[in-house]
Amino acid sequence: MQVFKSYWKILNRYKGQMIMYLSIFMVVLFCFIIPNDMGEDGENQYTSMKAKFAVFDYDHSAASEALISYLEGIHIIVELKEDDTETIQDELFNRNIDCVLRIPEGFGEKLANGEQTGLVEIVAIMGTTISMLFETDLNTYLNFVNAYLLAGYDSKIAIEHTDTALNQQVDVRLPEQGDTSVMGNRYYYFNYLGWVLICMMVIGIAPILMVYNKKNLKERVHCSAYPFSRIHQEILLGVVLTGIGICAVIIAGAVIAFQGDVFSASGGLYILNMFSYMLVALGFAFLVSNLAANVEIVNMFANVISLGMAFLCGIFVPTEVLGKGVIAIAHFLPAYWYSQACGRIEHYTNGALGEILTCMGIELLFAATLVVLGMTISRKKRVEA
Amino acid sequence: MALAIKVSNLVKRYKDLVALDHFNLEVEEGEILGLLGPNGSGKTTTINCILSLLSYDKGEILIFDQEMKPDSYEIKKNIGVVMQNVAVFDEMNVYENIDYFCGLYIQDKNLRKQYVEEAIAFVGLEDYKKFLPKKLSGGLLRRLNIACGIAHKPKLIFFDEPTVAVDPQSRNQILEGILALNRNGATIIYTSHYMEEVEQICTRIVIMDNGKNAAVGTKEELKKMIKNTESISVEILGLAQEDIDTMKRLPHAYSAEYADNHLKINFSGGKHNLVRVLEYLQEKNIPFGRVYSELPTLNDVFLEITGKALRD
Ligand SMILES: Nc1ncnc2c1ncn2[C@@H]1O[C@H](COP(=O)(O)OP(=O)(O)OP(=O)(O)O)[C@@H](O)[C@H]1O
Ligand SMILES: [Mg+2]
Repeated sequence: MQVFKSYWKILNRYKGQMIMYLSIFMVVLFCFIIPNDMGEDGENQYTSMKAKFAVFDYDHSAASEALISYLEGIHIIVELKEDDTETIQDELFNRNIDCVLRIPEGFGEKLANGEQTGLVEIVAIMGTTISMLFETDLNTYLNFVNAYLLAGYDSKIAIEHTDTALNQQVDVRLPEQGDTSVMGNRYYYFNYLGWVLICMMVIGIAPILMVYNKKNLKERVHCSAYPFSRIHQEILLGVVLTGIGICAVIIAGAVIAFQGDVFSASGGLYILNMFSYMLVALGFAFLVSNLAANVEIVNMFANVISLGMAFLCGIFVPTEVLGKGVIAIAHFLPAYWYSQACGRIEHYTNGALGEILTCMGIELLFAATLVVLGMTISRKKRVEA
Repeated sequence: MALAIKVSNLVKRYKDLVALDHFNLEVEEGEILGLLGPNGSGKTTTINCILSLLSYDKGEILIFDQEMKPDSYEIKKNIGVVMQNVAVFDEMNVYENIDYFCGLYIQDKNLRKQYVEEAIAFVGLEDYKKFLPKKLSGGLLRRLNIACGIAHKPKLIFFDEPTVAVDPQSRNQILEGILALNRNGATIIYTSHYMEEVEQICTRIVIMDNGKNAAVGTKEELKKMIKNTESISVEILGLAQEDIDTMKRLPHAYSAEYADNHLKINFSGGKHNLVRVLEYLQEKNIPFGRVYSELPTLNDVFLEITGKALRD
């Protein structure tokens, strides 16, 4: 097991970067993902995001009514009898309302004329998240109407279009229960691996493989009585054990963060998916070790591959936000299938098992392709030497 | 004597370049065979073919009477290699490197430990066991390279220019070491383009030129192959052409050159050449400085056999 032993000694020299990425991942996990999780499920988060607001409409136009009905759809309207400062302050103080919207006379006309400031007044306690959310929704609405007006629609059509457009968006943001877009922290934890694993394994493993590929060393070892097949097997064993070790650390992290949720059917699928993707990451490491001339180039490859895939495949940015073209390209990248599998596992019901396994199968095919590609390049190099 | 290596009609081409052209070589067990040739004459190519690192176009290679193939692991067990280019792991220290290479041959842990310690003592790296190769000087690195090649006590060892870029003191230590390995029973193939080294340690010498075996023999045999037996040089100021021509006609002399106030006369045979030269100079009353009589060197052999100097 001479070669196997040497693998760990060499790994020891290159482990720094790998540990760094693992640490970044754990820091992100324990400082950002977990603290957001206040034990609320998606449904509670959804209701807590509704603002209670009162409206005083002095315009009584079609535009003002459309605006109110839109806001009513996503927030909770509360009746207030009198528009005087004292009443409003009492109500705000007692948390009976979160904010007050005052629509002055002439709002409809100003809006139709494309004016963008001073259209409405808002009274709220400064800096509360919920009133800010309300204001954001209000501004989004007004901006949409403005955009349609600028595009040449008359105000009636503009308001109609705005309503349809925003209603679709609302569906995404405030989904029905069971909708795929509400994701738990476990999803973010595993989905994030789509980036971390590639980066970590390419930067950690490729330099080790490159050591064994150095011409002088390779020739020297080939003069020896150690069979080639055994050399390759022992290196492979080292690499696979490294992968399993990293996976074990990640599972341990998941157990700390999500406890019992890891030991469920979906938890098991997440772990299976991670192992499949680990093979993809090792495949990339092998390919890069045959392409790169030195460690700097390895780092470059690692970043381009991992970040590129993370942005295109729904790891850093949800796929809903990506264009159709991008998603079409993403189908040719393994991270897409990894991320798709994560999304399906998060809402796992028995029926979806087939789809999840298909995604994993595609990942394995990618891994195999990468290895074959790496071997082809390595063979070509040997013939040229 | 049994043959350790027998190479017959070896041909190796790199595209259009014929690196080895029907090269023949026989190495007897227990000898130190020197492969002497200028840069690019095919020494490394020969060794790499013998070791099955390179495929070749034609020919046959036998080691200990068995055909050598890439997977001849039984043969490879007995072979040690010290490559021209240092081949060690930068990531492992001196001890770990030697242990690694020794372990490619010796599986038994205790035996290996003993062998590694012996190899370290052999090359004198006792004080550097924990050093990484990057921290070693060029000479020490070469010694590490040697230790890695010989730790498993092979019967047949290849040294490909092990002394390149090594200072004279380290060089002598390396040469002494090779002689010691040979005394312990190892057969050695030694390549170099330094004729002094080859002359110093090799029992037999193969002169290589353009991928061919130009001459083989002990250094005495090689020197007998050529016309020159003695060259006499004399420091003389302003020697007349007439005198040069006369001296060229001394018994056994076959050529004479005069340059930079040095006269050099080459003789082929004859026992009293130096006396005759000195008598002539006294007779003619020609004042002279230092006088040397030199026996032919391998460089002379090389010059005569290949028509060019060994070193540029
Ligand atoms: N991989 C290669 N591809 C093409 N030509 C090569 C290759 N290796 C060696 N050669 C050529 O083959 C010839 C013999 O080279 P070789 O390395 O065997 O010489 P050498 O005697 O070992 O020289 P040196 O003293 O410089 O080590 C040279 O002309 C060299 O340029
Ligand atoms: Mg050479």
